[in-house]
Amino acid sequence: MSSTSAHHYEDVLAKIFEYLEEHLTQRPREPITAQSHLIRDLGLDSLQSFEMVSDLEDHFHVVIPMDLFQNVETIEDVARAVHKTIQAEAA
Amino acid sequence: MQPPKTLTAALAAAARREAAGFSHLSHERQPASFVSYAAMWRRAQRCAAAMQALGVRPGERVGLILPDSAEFIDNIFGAMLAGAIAVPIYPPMNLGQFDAYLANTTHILRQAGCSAVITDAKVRPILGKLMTSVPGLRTITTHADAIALVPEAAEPAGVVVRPDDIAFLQFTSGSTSRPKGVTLTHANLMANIAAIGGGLNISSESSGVSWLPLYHDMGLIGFVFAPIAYETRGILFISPLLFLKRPAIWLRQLSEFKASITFAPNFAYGLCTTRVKDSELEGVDLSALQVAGCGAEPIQHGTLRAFADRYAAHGLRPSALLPCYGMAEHTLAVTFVGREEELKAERVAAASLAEGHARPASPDAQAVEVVCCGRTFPGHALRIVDAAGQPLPEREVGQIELQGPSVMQGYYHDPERSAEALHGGWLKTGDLGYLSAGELYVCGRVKDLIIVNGRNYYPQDLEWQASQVEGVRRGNVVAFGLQHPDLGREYVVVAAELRAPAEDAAAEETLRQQIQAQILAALSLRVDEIVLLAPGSLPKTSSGKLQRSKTTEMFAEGKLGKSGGPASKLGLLKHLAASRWNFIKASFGGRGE
Repeated sequence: MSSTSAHHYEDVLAKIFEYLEEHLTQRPREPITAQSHLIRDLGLDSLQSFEMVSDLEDHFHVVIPMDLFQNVETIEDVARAVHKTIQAEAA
Repeated sequence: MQPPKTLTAALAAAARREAAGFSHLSHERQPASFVSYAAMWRRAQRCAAAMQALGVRPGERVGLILPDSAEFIDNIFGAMLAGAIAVPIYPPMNLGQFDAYLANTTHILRQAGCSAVITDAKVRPILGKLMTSVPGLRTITTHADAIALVPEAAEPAGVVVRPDDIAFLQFTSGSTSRPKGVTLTHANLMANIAAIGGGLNISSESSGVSWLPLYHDMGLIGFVFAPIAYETRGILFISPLLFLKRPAIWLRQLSEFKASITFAPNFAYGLCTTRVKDSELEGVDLSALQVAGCGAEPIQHGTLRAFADRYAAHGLRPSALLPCYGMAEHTLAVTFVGREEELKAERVAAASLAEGHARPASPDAQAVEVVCCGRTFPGHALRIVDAAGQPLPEREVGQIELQGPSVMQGYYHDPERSAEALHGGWLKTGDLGYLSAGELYVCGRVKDLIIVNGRNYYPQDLEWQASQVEGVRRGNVVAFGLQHPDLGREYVVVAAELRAPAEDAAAEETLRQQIQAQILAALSLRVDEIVLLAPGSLPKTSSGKLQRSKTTEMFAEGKLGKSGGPASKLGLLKHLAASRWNFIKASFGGRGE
């Protein structure tokens, strides 16, 4: 896969961190990591979650199927779902 | 020509129109699929024949768990054509976390006494356990397997559908273990549809766009049944999750479809103001929109105003916004504001509201803004009564009661709660409101009212104030009053989820003081106890509606905030779908968040 058109998993993770950095109104007590739980650790509410998904779509120019999110709990779960979509769409 | 007296007769009549019908959009990158009324009629006939082949007899209940909107519509009409009673049940949001879902579904299927369930291949595997937990349930099958039992042109045999037959059961939240099945006949539905059509001026030239779930009354009756009865040009259904992910889709489709009618709860109008980017609105033209209805949860004047202001540039006429009040027990709609009327709200003095009077507030007084929901329909009656059931004059706050052909038959197989709701020839709504110049203003729910020293407080007001405090998870606050033997008055509690844990005890104390001060300043009420909780600690129904009575119970038992918290097990999809889904199971017009 060419690295110019495709985004790596790390790029996706970085974009999610960037999004949270910008949008979380309250700093969580623990530093944010890939293992941070979206609700328990970050206090993300449902509309913020939706907003994050649509933001990631806009950034990576993909449409993320909603059923990829059926068992997503942490930041890395989100990153994996998004990365999978990017790869599928590039194929 | 006589208008049809049953929904099935209405569909048979609409089936003459091959070019009109419904479109279904479930993926952003795929075109919507179109099903004409004629095709709907043929598909419903086949579903009816399939149900008969499965052994479903007239009067039996059939559970429908079908995420696909077209399949759902085929089967609800199929059930009617087979003389059976459809029981729409919301599909699971998250296939990985289905224990709570199954428990809820079991209660509904038991209460309805379903003998069959029609579902799809994705949901089917998780429903296996139901066969043993629901007595009388003979079969759980997929739609595809069911219709494969009969040829494509199959028709049901020997069923006559009458106006007084039960058309379907609309289950409303209540408590999970005792769901309430609102029983509606074809006559109920045709009466309310006639009222809706008159109020909104629906005709065969109308067209609509809806992302509302079809297992909820506003989506099903408002956008499936009413359009069929009026043989409207077309309706476009957008998947609800698609809307929540990208609200602009709703607006873009309204524009593309040149839709004349749409409806949504208050929060959806808020989302379109805050979350839609200008770049997503290129070319969007809402000038064809005649009715943008708003109901199903408390209506905020500011939210609708802001929507009207932003979308004026896209051709939206402010008078298209049409607040309404309704509830499943009254089929769907109770009141509409008149078409082409401007939005209207009253500033009511908070102090007078606490005493049950709705007095206009002076400019500098604490005030609550209450939106006008309009009048009820010809042939229907609405009144406001006090706690003793005596009618109240205008501007006095009391319970809203209803009478007329749209009132339900009762709750299915629940004589006790049916008798509570239908008393002395009136339907008790459980909602509080007042009349002004003959028009209805809705204030809150009766049973949630907090009464301290003879003054009334609406928990929604306390919750809204607490949500204003930085650090509190907006919309995740529950306020309630408890009878306290020693105080001689209600003990007032506010339970609030925090966005993130407080640094230390001192920070927690500061937050408590801020919440206390906010409520005191706005409502002149001192809260007795403020409970701060981790995200996801407050109990919610499976559809995400905050459960005030359950919260009260947990608090009384000392369990609030003591468990691990349900959030730890939530998958994102369920979470995504959860907290703003209040309106789905809340009866139309009941309280939202």
